[in-house]
Amino acid sequence: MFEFPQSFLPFFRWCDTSALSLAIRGSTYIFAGVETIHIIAVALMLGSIATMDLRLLGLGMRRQPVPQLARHLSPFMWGGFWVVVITGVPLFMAEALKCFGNAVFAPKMMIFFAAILLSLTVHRKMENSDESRTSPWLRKPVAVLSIVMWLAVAAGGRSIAFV
Amino acid sequence: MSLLGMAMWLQDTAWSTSIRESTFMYPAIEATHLLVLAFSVGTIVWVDMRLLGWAMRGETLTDVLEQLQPYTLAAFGIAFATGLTLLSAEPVKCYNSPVFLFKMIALALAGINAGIFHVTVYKGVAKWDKAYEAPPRAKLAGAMSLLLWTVVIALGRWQAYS
Repeated sequence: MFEFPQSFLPFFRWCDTSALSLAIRGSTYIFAGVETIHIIAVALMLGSIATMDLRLLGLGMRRQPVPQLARHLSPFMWGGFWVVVITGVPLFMAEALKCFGNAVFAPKMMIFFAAILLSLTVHRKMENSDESRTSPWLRKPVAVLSIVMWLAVAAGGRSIAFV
Repeated sequence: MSLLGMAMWLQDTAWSTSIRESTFMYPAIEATHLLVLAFSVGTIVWVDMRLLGWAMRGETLTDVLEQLQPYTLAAFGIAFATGLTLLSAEPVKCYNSPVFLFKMIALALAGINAGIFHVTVYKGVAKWDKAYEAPPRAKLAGAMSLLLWTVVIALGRWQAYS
């Protein structure tokens, strides 16, 4: 689907042989520990996104106005996001060469960046506007797209180990 | 038949073998398990954090709990079913895994914690539904739930490494 160009290979190789990468690979527990934190933060982030998208679809938390719910959820969504990024970088560094050749890693990252873009643009506008001010014909497809993209990122992450 | 005997019998069934040896089925079931688990625990977490006063402050507890519970329960049902399927594919490995045993104990404790909360302090929720500060016993239930579910997920992940 997507592949990294060969010109990226030296960068991946540099990551793979960095001191951080060697330290993680040399330890039994660091990778597992960092991955555990990564997954807990993913759960927090996805939980916030899913709750928001359910609300945008009119399926959950309907008694709360959309922007009010967004104010409750976004600190957890972005808090989770930063923990995911901070733990994701060393996980990538430790297995950079494996990631380069992995059929799932590149599409996962592409969808991840596309999903961030969606979150920061149209999705954010939907979150911050009262329901009466946005068209359901836009709001609902955006919510579905958001949840599908983020679930694809999570499923892709899990699949890296299997392909 | 002993528990180990049952695990060995199950392991030898065509059902168990076909899942264990499949290329796509095992990862697909595991991915489903993980996604619905995130949904189930992800919705529980909002109730817990509302009890602790960390999130959803200003919303009544019943608003948060009642509107999320259908998703928690539906997702838990699917997580339980996919979890049983995964267990049926690797019963002997699970039998021999202390991590799996601890995960099941934490899961049972999480269930007991939720059950106690619902039959005791939640019965009188009308009195503190709007309050920013939930009663100490309700806060304790929220903290226990957060802790236990985190342990369940962490041990589930850890099982692959042990």
